[in-house]
Amino acid sequence: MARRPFGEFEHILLYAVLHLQDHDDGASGAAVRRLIEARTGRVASPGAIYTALDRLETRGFVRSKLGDPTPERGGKRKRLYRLSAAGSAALRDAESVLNSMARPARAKR
Amino acid sequence: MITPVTPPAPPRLARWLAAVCLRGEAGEVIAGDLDEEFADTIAAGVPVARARRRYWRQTLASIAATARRAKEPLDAAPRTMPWDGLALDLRSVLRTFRQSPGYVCVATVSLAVGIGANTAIVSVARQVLLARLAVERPDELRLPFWTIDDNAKINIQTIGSFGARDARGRVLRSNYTYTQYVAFRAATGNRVAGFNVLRQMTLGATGRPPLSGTGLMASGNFFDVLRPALALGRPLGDADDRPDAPLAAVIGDRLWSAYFDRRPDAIGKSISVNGVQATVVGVAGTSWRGLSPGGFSATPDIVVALRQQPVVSPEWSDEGGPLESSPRYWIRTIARVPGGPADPAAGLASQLTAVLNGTTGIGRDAARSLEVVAMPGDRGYDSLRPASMQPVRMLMGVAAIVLLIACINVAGLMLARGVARQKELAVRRALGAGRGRIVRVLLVESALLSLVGGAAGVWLAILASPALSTLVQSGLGATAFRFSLDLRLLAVSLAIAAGAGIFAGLLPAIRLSGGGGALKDRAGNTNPRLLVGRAILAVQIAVSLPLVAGAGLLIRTMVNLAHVDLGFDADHLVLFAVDPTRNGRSPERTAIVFPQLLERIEAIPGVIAATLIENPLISGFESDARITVGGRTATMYMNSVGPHYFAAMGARLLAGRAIDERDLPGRPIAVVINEAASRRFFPGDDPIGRRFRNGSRELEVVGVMADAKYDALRPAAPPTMLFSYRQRTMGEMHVVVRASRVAASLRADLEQAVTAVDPSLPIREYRTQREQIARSLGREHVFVRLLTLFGGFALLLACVGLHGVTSYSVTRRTGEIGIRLALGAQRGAVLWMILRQVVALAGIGLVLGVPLALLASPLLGAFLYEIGPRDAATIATAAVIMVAVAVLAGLLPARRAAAVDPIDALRAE
Repeated sequence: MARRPFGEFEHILLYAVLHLQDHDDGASGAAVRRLIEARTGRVASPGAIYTALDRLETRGFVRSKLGDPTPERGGKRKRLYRLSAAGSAALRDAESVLNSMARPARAKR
Repeated sequence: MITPVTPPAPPRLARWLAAVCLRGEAGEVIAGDLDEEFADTIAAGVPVARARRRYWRQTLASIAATARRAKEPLDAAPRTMPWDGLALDLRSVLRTFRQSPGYVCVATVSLAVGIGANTAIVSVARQVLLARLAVERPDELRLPFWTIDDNAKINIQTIGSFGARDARGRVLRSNYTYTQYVAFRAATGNRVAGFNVLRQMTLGATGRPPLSGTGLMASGNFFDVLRPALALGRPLGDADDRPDAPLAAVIGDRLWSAYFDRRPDAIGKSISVNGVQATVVGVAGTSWRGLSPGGFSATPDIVVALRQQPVVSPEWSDEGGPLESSPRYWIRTIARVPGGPADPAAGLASQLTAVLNGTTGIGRDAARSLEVVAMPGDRGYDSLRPASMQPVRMLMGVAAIVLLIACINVAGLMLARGVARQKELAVRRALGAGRGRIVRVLLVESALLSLVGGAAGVWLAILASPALSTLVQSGLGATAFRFSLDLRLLAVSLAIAAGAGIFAGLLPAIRLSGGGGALKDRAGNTNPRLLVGRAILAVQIAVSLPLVAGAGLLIRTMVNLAHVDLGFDADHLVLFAVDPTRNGRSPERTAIVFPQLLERIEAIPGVIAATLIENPLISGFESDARITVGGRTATMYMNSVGPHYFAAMGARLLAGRAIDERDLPGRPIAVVINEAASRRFFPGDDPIGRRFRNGSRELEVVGVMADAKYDALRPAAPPTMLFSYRQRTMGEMHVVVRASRVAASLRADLEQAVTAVDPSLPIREYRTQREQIARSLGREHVFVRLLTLFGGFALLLACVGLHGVTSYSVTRRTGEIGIRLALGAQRGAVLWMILRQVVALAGIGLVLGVPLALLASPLLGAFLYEIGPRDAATIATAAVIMVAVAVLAGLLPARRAAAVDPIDALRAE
């Protein structure tokens, strides 16, 4: 079994990107942060979100591009993320690993 | 009046802090997110104060997270993805290569020569030394030889025997009589097969040109015992091995290609074997090499049944009768002992010894020591040719030394570069490159060099392969040898060379890990890395010396051989072979063709004299006979010759008369003996008129000639006698022509003379006597060339290494030299100061190298002529050459040191 190539927070981030990437031109950091806060109640700083996404990007799990400046952000650009093929595959792998452990354990209980 | 409500703004101080701490694109994106989040919070109805507190928290958390990320080591990414940034490293390595083309060039060439030479030579060695028969379970094969006490008196006649010695030095004899072979076969339940080799056969097929080839006569169970693979058809069987059976043949790949274009319909077709029609029943597979997997004897083109001997080789028969009923020893045997190597072959040997004692025609005295030895047969006869193995071993030694030198040289180069790059590496380290990353750059560099060197090595090996094939074919006598490169060996050589390079390349990285200091490293006088480099150079000089000394020994051998007193005049002689009998048929034709031919040739303008000779001189061929002189039995060399022998050969007749037209069949047999024979058999007497016996024939000495070399240049002239070719009928003879004209211009005239006598007679092996002698030295020539080449290569590499180390030392010591000069040192003294190091290095190298050379040179023993393998003068000369080359290499940087301008040097300081 391959070692999971990312931690729990990163795992959550990948799901968030997967969920949001088709809404706009990709998942923005702000949207990801909002989604995570709404679903898990966890408050993450934009800095933490971006450094984690940056780490995932150097490992080849996500791709990003700069979006256009928008007035509600005070003319600042945002970065938009999408899963890469390697990211989808890694996510699927992690899922199947967790499932293969979880299902039999639950069935027993 | 409605005033627009200004939306609440994020805290200004926090915003400023974010702008200062989070810069660039990433900062812009985060700041944007922070603002967006603030707006969201307000829109969600959260009180402004809480939203502002939250903004502060998120800003500080973002700054902290970004700072943590920045502190993560740069090589964290490669740790997860080891190939990240490899392209960058590759680019950096290529850039350094471009900056130092000399270094890349020397490293590539030394790797290429080391790897190429080693791979090519060891490939040859494996093929020649280790090739096994391509048959089913070769381990089970045995070659039964017989041996007898050397003092035992035996009088037997053999045809086509193979002699060898076993580990105890006993002479092993290969041949048995037909009766003995039949008894062997019966006693072992058909496990012993018999065969003999047919040389110089004439093969033909309708509509195709005739070919000359070799073959085997084999017993009906031969294919059952040997079990070679067939490409087509069936093997020979006992039904074919009957005198009344139709002549059936299994043909080899060469004949199948030449006559049947490898078509399957060859089976059932007819070919001619020495003029007799035979039917092709089978075709041997491409792996068929007869009984010499290493190619030491020609691959048999054809196999026919043993008992067809009266049909295919009638000239062997006694008075027309078949050999089966003759007491001649003409059958070699091979046996298959099931059970492989574990089975005690002694069982077979003692069984056959008993059989041999029951059937033998050898005297009763001798029988007591008569014994059959079953030698391993998995490599056919090749394992019994120790003489052929020695040159291969020597070559392997040379190849190993060359690879060693290449490794040492590359290691030295990498070390020197490591020293030169210490500063660069220290800077990289200081800028945050992890040690892993630096090691990787060095690894990439070594690997790249090895790759380029290895590729060049393969190219070199392929380039050298025709020369090596020639060497193996002419030098070792493996005429059927075909060169093929052993890729596994290539990988091993490559790995060794790359390993040396990588090891040396990594040393600077390991040193770096011992802590900084390299950055502030100034002109320290002794640098440990330089010391290792010097030691490596000394070893390189030591290892090169045996090569240079070996080349010297061989060169002196060639000079000695060129000045050998031949005993005849080899200049202005032309030779060619003619066979008027075509493989033993109509022997009476020699008496008609040769006298006419000689007469016509001597009539050609410019021809001084012409004669015939059975074995051309210095050709490696000789004939000999057992003679009885005054009750004493001995071996004497003999040669059949024509009239005018002394005039043509430029040899000297000392007393009596030469062989001439008088010496015809039916007359008393006249011989001319040489001085060696006279001294040995008629000491103190006048040999003229004396008689001695050869078998049933009586010979009379009619003349005495001066000693001359016979089959080879090295041995002293053996006791030799000359016969008239008319009194000892031979098929093929060599015509020797002494002419005052150039050999090439003579050829057309000679061919015309032959055609005039018999238009169907081809000329073979046209050459001058000088070419003949050069050909006999083919092996020596190749070895001299190889050793001189490798010796020169070793010298060159040592030269480059010395130059490099000395230059580096001069560069480091420029400041010191400037101070010395400023304080009044003479420039000559500075020159010597630098050169002294070089000479000391060479001296240490020689102290190590001379014993090495003394140890290695006996390997050359068999090739040397009139010079000892430990010839002091030669080794001393080699040592002087090494020192001279070393001084030459050091002179350039030393002169640069002496020319240092003290002002400049001190200013640079």
